[in-house]
Amino acid sequence: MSEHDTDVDRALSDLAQRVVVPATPVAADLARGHRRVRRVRRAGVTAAAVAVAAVIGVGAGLGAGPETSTSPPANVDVATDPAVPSEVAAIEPVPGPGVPMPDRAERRELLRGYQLVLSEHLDPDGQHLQPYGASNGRQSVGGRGRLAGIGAKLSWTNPGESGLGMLQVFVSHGWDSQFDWYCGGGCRDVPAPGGAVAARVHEHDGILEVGVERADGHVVVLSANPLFGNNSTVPVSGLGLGERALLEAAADPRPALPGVLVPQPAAITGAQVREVLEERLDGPVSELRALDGSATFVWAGSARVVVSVYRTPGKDAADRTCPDFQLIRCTAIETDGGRALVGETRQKWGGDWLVVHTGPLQEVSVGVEGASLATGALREELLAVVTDPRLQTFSAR
Amino acid sequence: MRTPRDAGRDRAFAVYVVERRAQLYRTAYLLCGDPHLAEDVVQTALTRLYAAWPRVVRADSVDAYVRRVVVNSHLDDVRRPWRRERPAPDADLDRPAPVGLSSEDADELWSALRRLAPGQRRVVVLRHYWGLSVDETAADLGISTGTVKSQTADALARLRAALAPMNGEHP
Repeated sequence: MSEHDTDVDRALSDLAQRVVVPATPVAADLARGHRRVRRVRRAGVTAAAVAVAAVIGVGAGLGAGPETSTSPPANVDVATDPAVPSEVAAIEPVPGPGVPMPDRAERRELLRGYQLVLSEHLDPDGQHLQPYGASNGRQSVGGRGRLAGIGAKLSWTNPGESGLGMLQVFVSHGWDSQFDWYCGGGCRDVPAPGGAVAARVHEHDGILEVGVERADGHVVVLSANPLFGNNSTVPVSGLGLGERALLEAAADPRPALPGVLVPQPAAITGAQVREVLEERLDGPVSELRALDGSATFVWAGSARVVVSVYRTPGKDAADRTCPDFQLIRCTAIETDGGRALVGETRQKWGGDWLVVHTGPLQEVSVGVEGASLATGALREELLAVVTDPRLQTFSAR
Repeated sequence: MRTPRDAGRDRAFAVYVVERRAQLYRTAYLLCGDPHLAEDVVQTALTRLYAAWPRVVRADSVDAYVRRVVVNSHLDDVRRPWRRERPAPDADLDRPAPVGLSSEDADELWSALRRLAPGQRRVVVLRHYWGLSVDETAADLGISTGTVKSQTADALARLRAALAPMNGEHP
């Protein structure tokens, strides 16, 4: 390892040593383990009993099926809540971001194509940029049979120099499917080139990164790094690529995912969340600020609440169950339009409560600190917040 | 009725917990930055470990098993919408380390660690806190060794910048 790596190792170790570790008795971990083993054994007995009953023709009514979740047991009650609006079920879910997953050969061809386009823009004389080949790595984002983003790191050399630089390209469906794009407050918006919708620039650690959002839904991020850290310890003197050149290259419509990108719903805005909170909660919303991007907001009223809106592309609401949340208490709510799951929980530490609704398009949750949601007006208000259909509908950003 | 085998499992598990719990908690804390979530993650991991103990011990991979559960538990929680941005209580950061970081450096490093993308944070904690090899890290996370290397390189660059003296610029 390099001297720097040793420094990082030592620094991380020092940092970790500063963490105060709770004095949890071993007996508590043992007790949890015993309970889990007992649940697993009971599940096996229950399944066997069902099988035996079926064979000898005993009637049904055996209650809940085997516990398959690794979470603590969930007390699942099904109740009808008249406060829950029924319009949520009318919204049709859309496929998740990206395209159906191409095979390996197609993915290689895609990346070769991306490199050719970049060469055209950034290395027309062919002096610097390595062609994409079998020795190159590949990064991708996706799942559930879909490819939401793909890219590669390409070597960059300068004649007469021994160092190795890197140009990284990543093409995705939307910003959320980018591999490593992370502004951390250091990005700046710039005029978008050509017919692009948006463009951002991020400079850090000697690296120049640009991201361009095209009107067709693709986002292309190019990262120009004088050092290809994977493959070299010697940087090049520079790539000689300015912001404008990278932006123009990223805006080229040719690098794309193979197939039609189904438009994804735009993210819920802070204004939409605030509108719902102010209507559903008793009293004004006195503070609303984003904690991490646009997904989480804070309201400080009689209790501190955090509202999160989290997209669950490609996942049906019916797939989400109370044990998914690994929480102690959970209640399923039936609405007029169908079954919607609202999880009401208490975190094991800190006494916080969580109300979650997985709708057809988004998962909305409200976490509460400093107040109980076992009963009472606040509980009803927050149930109304998470199931409000306005948080399942979308408008342009 | 508990058998001698059950008692043996309990003893062995208890020894492991005493030896490793602190490191597991610190790992979880480095990954998620939240003491409550870190404790939840460790409890989940140890509960699963206990249930799988006979199989895991036979495979002689107890550390690997529980470490993977910690990382995957963190992954599960990162995907859930409930993420609290709660800074660690001052006591967690002001406790003096025997050697090494000043409080200011520790703050810088915490900030840099939090700013890493989740994938980079996992890789750097496994490689540079647990000291795992590239192959071991790849196996723990279910990713390619190439991805481990690229994630490591990017993450280290950011962390080194935080550790560099007189370099106050942050992305």
